[in-house]
Amino acid sequence: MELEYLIIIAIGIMTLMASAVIVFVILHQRRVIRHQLELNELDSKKQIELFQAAAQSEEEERQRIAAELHDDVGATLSSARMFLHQAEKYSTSPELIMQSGQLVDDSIRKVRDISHKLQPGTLQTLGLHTALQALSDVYKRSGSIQFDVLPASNLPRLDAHRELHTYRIVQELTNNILKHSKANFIVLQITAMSGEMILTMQHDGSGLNNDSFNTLLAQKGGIGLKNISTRLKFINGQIAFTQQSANSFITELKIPTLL
Amino acid sequence: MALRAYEIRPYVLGNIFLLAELICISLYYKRKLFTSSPKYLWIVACFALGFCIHTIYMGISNLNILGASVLCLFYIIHGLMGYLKLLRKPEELYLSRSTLFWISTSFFIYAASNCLVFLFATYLKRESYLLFMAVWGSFFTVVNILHYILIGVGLYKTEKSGT
Repeated sequence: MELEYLIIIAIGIMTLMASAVIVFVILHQRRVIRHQLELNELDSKKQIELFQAAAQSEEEERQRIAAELHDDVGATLSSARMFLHQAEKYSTSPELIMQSGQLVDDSIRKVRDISHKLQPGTLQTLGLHTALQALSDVYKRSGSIQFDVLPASNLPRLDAHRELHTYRIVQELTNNILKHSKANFIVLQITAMSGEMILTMQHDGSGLNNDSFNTLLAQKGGIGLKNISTRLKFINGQIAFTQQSANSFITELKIPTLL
Repeated sequence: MALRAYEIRPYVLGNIFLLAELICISLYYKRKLFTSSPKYLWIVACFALGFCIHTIYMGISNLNILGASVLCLFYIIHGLMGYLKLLRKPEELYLSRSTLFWISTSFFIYAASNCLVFLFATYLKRESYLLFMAVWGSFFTVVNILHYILIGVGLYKTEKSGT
């Protein structure tokens, strides 16, 4: 073969080799991306499992404390109240006993409220709407805020995990509103449409928007907000914060009703 | 005709182009790969000086094709180093978004394809003018078009990503 053609073949081989190097780089990087995605997926699965375990043990602990408060402390206080009632009849100073009785009544009520907050008994039996109504009653009774849950009909039941997580998210949001927003009222509306349950919380204090929520989430601390975010991730929910006017903030939760 | 009117031979401009290309590419890679290496600019300066001396030795009115093929080797090494940096950089996962990838690909494929073309251009021209025209007129042109398209994509990505 003539040298000219050998040169042409050499040029061709060089071009092919260069192309092969480029293809190798692209394929190698694709493999790295795939590996990275797999790692991320594993990491996120592990995180969800960890959160699931932590949430479960937290709920069990809450249940245990609630049961202790209700069955033990509550029962003891009720007995004390009964004895005081008896003592009132024979005492020479019934006012003192009446005052003690009122204090015991207050304690019984507080223990019941704490017990309910720790373990919403109505959630499992009567569903999210009723449990949130009971929660709003607790807040109203304490006199800290006017909390109204608007009536709703034909709400679908979520599975137990989703209901509990949604309940805890609303509870955390309410606590945050109480702590930080100086609001006078909260109105909660629950609706369901196209495979989603939508919970809209409106209050008249100072609130968050989506950007400030994300900023707070990225900062150190903010455990409550991080818990909300993790719970939402766990149940595939979404949260959005909007400001309607100077003193009207809306938090919207979207929870898929179907798995 | 204009060049002839000013008595400038096109190959003089070709040599200037090759030198300017070397300087521009080196400045780009200095910023991307050799930010903390002061020796790099000295190496480039030596290459540039060597190229100038060889061009003058060969005659300034002739295209310094041997110099051009040495510069091609220089670009091949730069392209490979660009790839190596991309592969070692964990945060640069998506190659198509990286300017360095497009620019390195552009120079790598251009230099690898044309290194031998430059080296044997004189021989081919002397031995088989038709073959030379086929290589120079079609292959070299196609690779050159591809080279500039890839540079264009790289510049577009720079504007988008700001890197």
